[in-house]
Amino acid sequence: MEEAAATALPLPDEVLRKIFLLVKDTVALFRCATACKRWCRLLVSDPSFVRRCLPEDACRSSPFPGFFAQQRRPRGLPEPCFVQGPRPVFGLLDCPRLVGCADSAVPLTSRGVLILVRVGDLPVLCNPLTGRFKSLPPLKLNYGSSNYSTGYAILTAADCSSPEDVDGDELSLFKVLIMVIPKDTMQYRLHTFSSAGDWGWSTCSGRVNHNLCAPLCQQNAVVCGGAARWFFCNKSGLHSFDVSTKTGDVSTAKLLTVIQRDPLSPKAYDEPYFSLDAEGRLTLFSLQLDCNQLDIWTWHDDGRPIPTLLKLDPPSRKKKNKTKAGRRVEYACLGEKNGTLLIKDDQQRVYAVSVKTGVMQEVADCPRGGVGRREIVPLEIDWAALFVSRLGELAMEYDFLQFVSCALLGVAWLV
Amino acid sequence: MATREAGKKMIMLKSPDGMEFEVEEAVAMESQTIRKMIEDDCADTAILIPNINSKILSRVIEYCNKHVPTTGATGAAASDTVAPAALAEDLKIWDAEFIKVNRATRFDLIQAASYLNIKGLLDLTSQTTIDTISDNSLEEIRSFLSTKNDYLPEEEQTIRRENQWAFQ
Repeated sequence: MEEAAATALPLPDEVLRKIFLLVKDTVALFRCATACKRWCRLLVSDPSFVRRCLPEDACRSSPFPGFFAQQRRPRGLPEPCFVQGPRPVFGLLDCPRLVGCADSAVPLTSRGVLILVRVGDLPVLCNPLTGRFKSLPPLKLNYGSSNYSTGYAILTAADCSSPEDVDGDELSLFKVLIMVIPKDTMQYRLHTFSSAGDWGWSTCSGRVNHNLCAPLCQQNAVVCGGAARWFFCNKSGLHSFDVSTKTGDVSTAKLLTVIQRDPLSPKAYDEPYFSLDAEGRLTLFSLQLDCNQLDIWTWHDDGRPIPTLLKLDPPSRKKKNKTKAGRRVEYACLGEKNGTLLIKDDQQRVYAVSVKTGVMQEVADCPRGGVGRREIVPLEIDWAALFVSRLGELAMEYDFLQFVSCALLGVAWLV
Repeated sequence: MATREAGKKMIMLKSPDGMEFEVEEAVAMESQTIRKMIEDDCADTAILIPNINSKILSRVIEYCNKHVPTTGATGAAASDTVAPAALAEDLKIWDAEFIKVNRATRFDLIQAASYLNIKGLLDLTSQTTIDTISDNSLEEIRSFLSTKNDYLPEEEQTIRRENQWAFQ
């Protein structure tokens, strides 16, 4: 009986399309595209169709595929790796293809599909999807030193110029900002590389209001409202350190004063993490150390933050009997992207939390030795673009063959 | 309208292996393909259904019989006594039973549903196919959906090497 199916007529395109539309599973769809050239063409020749086939959470402009992190190896240098999202599974995304660079690439920050890594003193901006990259001029800094707080930002063509100028090549027009703040002085240094300017880093420095000085909460900047913003909190509240995307002017702003039920209290809460929500609004995630609750603050257009509290159900609560008496499992927030918050416990287990539902899922295949907030950057993958990028050539080849066979038929007819 | 006035107008469907099936016109018209033939008056005596053998055709007719809208003379009584929600629930259970067939039959049913353009059956068969796609290896997907691997071995190797995430 099974044999019969194998020799049957192939299904018509519209039936296949219908089936593909129902799959809603990124991995399964990709496999379908590699089943044969005709399926590949059906799926890949029309990115909007792929988009409709993909699961909804992957369909938003930039789904959560995982995080780029550095993996410590028992011997030798650390190697870059992708931490898989719980679903869709995203294994190693061809790291050799990534930069063609050494294993020692350290992820610094990401923006859209771009990721900034550092290989020694050499910052490299790359698109892991296409494997294209641009090496920037070397920049000697005290990377990783605990005496400095360093922040990174990628500005895209849309940030730097009017939207009409954007030609779709994300590596043609960009800026990279590197902000260095020494812990003991009030002097910041801002290094800027612009693809439109001279080949080199321009540096400016300034003084930070000494009341404000504190380490940055996270190294990757949040770009919103015409500024690249880093954040720090001290006794007086929560502040942002803003660099205007157009002018490069540096300013600080106070986001929250210390309030009654203190979301920033170091005793009960992990360091806050900042991100953008689906509408592009600045959002703060503050995780209770025992992981029972996540406070989410969203800044609305009028500049006021609106808090939302999300109850979580940490796995440690279920395993209570197994943990040693009196010891409390503590959790830390690693990063957030598109509604998925990545947190880890002190056993180096990593979980993905949906910021809508609070559902926690353990992330398999985490880097050995664990990761910290500064060793991990969230990454966006446009799955439809990935399909086209990975399989487009094969699909085009099929189209060409079809064209040739049609042409041959035509010739035969004429003869 | 014509169907209802004529009461039970019968249509003869013929499979390529020579079997004949007499069905109510309303049942046959569940298939958009047959409906078009009837409406275009191309179906005076019997309709030959190519590509669909008698075994599959009888199953398709079984499906259409169950799914024909119950607004006709006999259906009116039924819909008075049974709530629509319960009816829909009943149909769902029936569908689930109906589609419990082996893979080859299911594939034939997809093809038949596609050729005869029976939306409900196509939805049902496609939906059950998804499980096959999600849970099985590439080879099984290929064999089930009747497609041949036309990649060169080196092409396939490259795809697999560069996209290990999809093949673990």
